Amino acid sequence: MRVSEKIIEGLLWLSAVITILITAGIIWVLLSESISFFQVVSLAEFLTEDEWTPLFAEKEFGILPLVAGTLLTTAIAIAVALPLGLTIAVYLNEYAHARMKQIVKPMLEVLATIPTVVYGFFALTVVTPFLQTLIPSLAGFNALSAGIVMGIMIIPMISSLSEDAISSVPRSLREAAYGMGSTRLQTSFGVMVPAASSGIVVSVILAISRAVGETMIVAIAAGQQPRLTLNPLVPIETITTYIVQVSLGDVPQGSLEYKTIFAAGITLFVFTFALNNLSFWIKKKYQEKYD
Amino acid sequence: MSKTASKLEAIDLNAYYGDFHALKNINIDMEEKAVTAFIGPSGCGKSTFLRTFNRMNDYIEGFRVEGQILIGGQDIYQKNVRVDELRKEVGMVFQKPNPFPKSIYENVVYGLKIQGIKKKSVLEEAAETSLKRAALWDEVKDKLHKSALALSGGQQQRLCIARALAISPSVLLMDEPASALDPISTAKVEELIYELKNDYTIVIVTHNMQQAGRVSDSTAFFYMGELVEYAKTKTMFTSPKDNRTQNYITGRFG
Amino acid sequence: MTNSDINRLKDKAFQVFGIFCTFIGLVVLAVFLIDIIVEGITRIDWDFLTNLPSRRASRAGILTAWVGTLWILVLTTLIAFPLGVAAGVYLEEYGRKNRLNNFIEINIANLAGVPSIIYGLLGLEIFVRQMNLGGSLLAGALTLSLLILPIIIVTTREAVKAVPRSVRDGSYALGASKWQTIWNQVLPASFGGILTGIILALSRAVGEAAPLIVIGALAYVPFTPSSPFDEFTVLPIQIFNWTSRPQEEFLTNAAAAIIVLLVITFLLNGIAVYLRNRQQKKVKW
Repeated sequence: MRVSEKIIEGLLWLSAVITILITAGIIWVLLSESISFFQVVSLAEFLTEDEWTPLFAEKEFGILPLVAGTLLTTAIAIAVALPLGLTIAVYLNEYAHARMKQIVKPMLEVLATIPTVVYGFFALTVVTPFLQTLIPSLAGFNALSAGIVMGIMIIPMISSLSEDAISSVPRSLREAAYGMGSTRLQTSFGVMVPAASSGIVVSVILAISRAVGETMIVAIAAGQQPRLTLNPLVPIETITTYIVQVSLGDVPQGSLEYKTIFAAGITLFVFTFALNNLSFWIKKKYQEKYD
Repeated sequence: MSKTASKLEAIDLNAYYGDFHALKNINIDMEEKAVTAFIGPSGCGKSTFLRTFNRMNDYIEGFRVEGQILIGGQDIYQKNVRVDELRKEVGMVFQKPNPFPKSIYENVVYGLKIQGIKKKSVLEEAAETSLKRAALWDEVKDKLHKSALALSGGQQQRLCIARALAISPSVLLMDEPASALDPISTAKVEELIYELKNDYTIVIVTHNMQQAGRVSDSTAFFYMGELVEYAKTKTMFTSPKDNRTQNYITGRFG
Repeated sequence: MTNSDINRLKDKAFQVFGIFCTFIGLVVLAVFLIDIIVEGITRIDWDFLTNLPSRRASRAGILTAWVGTLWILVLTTLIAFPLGVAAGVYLEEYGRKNRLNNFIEINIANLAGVPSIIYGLLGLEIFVRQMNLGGSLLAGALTLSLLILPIIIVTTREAVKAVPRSVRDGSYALGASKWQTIWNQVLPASFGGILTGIILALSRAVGEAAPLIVIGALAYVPFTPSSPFDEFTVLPIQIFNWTSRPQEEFLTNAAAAIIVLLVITFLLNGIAVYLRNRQQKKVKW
């Protein structure tokens, strides 16, 4: 009896430890392939060169154009999702009836369950043609439309997490504000939002991390032309799109071109890893403050 | 452990939660087949002490005991004592009724099933006997396979008693078994305790002075982790020796 | 106008703006669903569901894609379910507060934030190359299992944590061992919550294209797979492939395939929500 208990506990422990192996595996895979990439291409070249053309005859290995494309689409997405998401959070918390909140919140979360490839289709076939009627110079593939659609996708992330943060602000604080004759708007933005700021910041950071790693929307709608630009109207390429582009092609395994996707991957991983840990750090600090 | 040797003793017992000294040098000797009540204000250690008799405190991180707890002369904190064997001898009923989210029948036979008893006739007979002993049989015999959560609070508590009886223990520990019940259900549970003492050694923790007076043969008063006074219930309630006991049972604190 | 009138006006204005923002997302969602349905619904017929892929848009079907998706769902469940539940139970029931377990917890939170395409790179190197599985269903299912593992672990922990202490105490007091208590009481009582989490995780997996593209799932598979070692495609990849083609007819195909994919996704989510509501109603401790 006792022996079998120990064996079971051991098996369960092993399952939990596998999660560490996954992280170790990710880091090992990304590092080992990138290291052999960086033996050919210097890190300085990788980080400072302003062109990325590994698939052409004349190869340049500057990651900056891909980073720029990634940051551009992310910035547009956040520019859409943050004002909308935060307004929704405040509105649902302070203005909407409990019943309405109960109905609207899950409906908004449907936005987060739709597969991203579907959003890509939407960006390419609906949003881009619509925007072209407003901005005639808009290219068929562009960062703007991909970014906007990505923003719509991450609205529920910001609105839900921010709403949770706002509603966990102690009641007494809100009552104090109302007690002094504040309107709902003044209470919300003068008291509640500042008090919930760290929770809101966490939601935004997680949303940024999500947007940075998002693949299918940008692969479908933003183009495959690495370009060091902040112009949202022209085709660009993100880190993720590049990895997809190479995966779909016939680059031989073990070649330098093949290794570029791991170099691109580790760049992406560093970004999201830093963002995620920043959010944990803020969350932890905030919890200590309130306990 | 033999069935008849159900005498409970504590010798120089100290217990700690981390740095907190929860039980201080307790010595007690309880009668077999009788009801002993533990009384005292909240946090006095009476529940902690009760739970040392079936080692339910083992799951609390940082908890440790020094000294001895003897059941039928055997020290249950010895390394070679198996906790599952111990708990077959020492049943427990909790403050809030805690039926499993399963059928009434499954609740009662659970203890037997985990001992590996699978035979249906044995299980069914045990279920009927235990439910009868717990004075619940007539109320539930037609809905044995309905969810136990559908029963009233008082019925749930008697189901928990039946569940404890099903594995034929010789000792029953009851941790404020009626504190979450209405007066009628409380009366039923007390009546049941009174009957069960013919066959079981019962220890009951209670907040309710009248209840201690009604059901117990002996009473132990705990205060700040100490056993202040231990005597026949009648003696304790009429002529307590210690001032603190006097104050408590006359309702001056607690 | 007094200061207080202005404040009240601002308050009202924000309320209108709030309603506008709340519904803009929902309106976009509705516009989008209607657009897809209008474009794709007429394309869906028996042939579309049972035809193999083809270069000619009008003859192309999604048989290989949805069969591949189904295979992936089943295999992923078989791999991720036991692993995720076991890890979740360990962390909630056995894991003491020590450095290793603390690290495991931070690590799981981190894994949940790793982009799916990175899992693709991991799968490509470990499963496709080192374990020599190639671009097979098994390699795809293993990759997606790792991807959804954090979700399953987290929801398992929450479901297990929701089982009250009193149930465990009741079981221990009857002489049950730790594992007997977990197996007979804790897991049955938390099963609804665990199931909800797994279905939500699967609905995530079913829509993933990026990691599968990276491990080499194909856009064009002329046969339906018949074993875990066969090559495969899935609905999202088929949709991606058709969306990237210039011809209008393929976009119609993509819209039709999207309808099928959304039906599967919404069905899975619907089941999860239903289970969760039922669980909340049924169990009152």
